[in-house]
Amino acid sequence: MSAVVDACFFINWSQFKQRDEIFKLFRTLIIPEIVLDEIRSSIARSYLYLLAYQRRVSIAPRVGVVDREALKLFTLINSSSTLPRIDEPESYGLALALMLRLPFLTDNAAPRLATRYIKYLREAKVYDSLIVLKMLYKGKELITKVKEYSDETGVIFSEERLQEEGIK
Amino acid sequence: MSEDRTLEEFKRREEKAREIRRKHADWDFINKQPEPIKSALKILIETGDLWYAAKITGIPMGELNEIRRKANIPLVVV
Repeated sequence: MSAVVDACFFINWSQFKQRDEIFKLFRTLIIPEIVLDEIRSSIARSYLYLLAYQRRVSIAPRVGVVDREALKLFTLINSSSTLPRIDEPESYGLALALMLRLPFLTDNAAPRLATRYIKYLREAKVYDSLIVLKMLYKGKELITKVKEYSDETGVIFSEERLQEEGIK
Repeated sequence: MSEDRTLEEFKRREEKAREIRRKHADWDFINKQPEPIKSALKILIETGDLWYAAKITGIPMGELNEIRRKANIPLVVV
């Protein structure tokens, strides 16, 4: 199985020392062309090139059918006064993942919450980095890796989010 | 949990995350930055939205993410 990945998730994940472990879960990472330009940091770019060389990453071209779906999601989520806002590349990634029936990897809470409240999105699988870490590691190792991930990427998880995943 | 309660809970988490970003941020570093970097970092602290802060200020997202780490602003997953 592959997964569609958001730019911010990829940029941060690329700084994690155990970054290659993600391929125990997903055969390839699909990066929408629309977010490719956002991956500019040297670490993330080098990692992207390495993965391309290893044929573990693919670039999804920007196509009208996904754009239309993305616009629908963008409007649906952002017209809600209570849901957190979703950005354009993220709605594209979510639309693509939904259409391909693949997980969408993002640390933004908007897509994750939207799958709970928008009936049309119920089948979408949205994983943040904590869920990915939880899929990779168990028990004490998970706690250690969560700490390492935070130290190495500057991404931290709220107490509530950790409790939700049974980590704290 | 009802939709309203969950969204209320989310708002509470967002507020806590904002406090964490404000608390951890290296304000001396931030205030010494030229514009639009300074504004971008402040927007990021308030919204937690890297893409939005980058888009509004015209700074490439990857670049802003690197400056964010120097400014000690955590990305808080809620």
